[in-house]
Amino acid sequence: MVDILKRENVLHTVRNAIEKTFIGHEIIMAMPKEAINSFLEMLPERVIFLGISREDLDGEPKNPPACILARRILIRSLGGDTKKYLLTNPLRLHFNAENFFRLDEMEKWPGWLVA
Amino acid sequence: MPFFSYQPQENHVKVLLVEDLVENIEKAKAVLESDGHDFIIAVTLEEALFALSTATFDAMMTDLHFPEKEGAENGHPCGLAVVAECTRRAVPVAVVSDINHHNAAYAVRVIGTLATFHPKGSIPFVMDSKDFNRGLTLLKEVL
Repeated sequence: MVDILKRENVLHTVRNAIEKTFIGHEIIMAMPKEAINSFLEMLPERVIFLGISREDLDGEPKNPPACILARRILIRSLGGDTKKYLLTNPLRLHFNAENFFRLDEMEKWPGWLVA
Repeated sequence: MPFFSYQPQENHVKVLLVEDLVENIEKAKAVLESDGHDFIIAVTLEEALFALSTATFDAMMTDLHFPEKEGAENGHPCGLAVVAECTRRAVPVAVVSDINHHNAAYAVRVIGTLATFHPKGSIPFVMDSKDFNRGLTLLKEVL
């Protein structure tokens, strides 16, 4: 099934999917501008980045939005370990919240930061 | 803009590291990790200012020459802009650069002047080599 979700529904849908899949795990959701501070406060082991990337839309970012800057900084600070983060552009991928997370590859995490 | 006050824990601080070369990032990370600090890495002036404006850091360690934005050249002393912003926000900051001290009079003058406005009264400036150990030691002295 293909779902094309409006941006304002994406976080709600993703959060529901995470909560159903990882019962009992703490999930913190933060706007892109809060992402770095939330990361410093929580030190989560996994960060999921959501949001529309302007470079995906235009092909060339001129004034990178906060989500791109936060994403670049945090991915680099996490060390680029692909087990430590998931990166997504839901609208472009015709996002389906239930099957997106590739459950067979996931480990149990103490916390999530969704920015 | 008013100064903010920071009260970091003495032995464990949240650091914003600004450094664009991978080998130097690895050196700095090793120093910060072995001393038990949490850190965020920015590689451009744009990223550094974004991080400073959206998060709370106990301290900052910055290179002197790095790009303004992704894809730009790294010959400009963007670190001076970072030091100025740290002064405005009262964030303790140290500059760690391999610039030859014989060619750094302009940077010494600017950083020294900014230090007179910084609430900590001092902005360590390590020159001639990327000695992050020394940079961190001096930074901790002003925390």
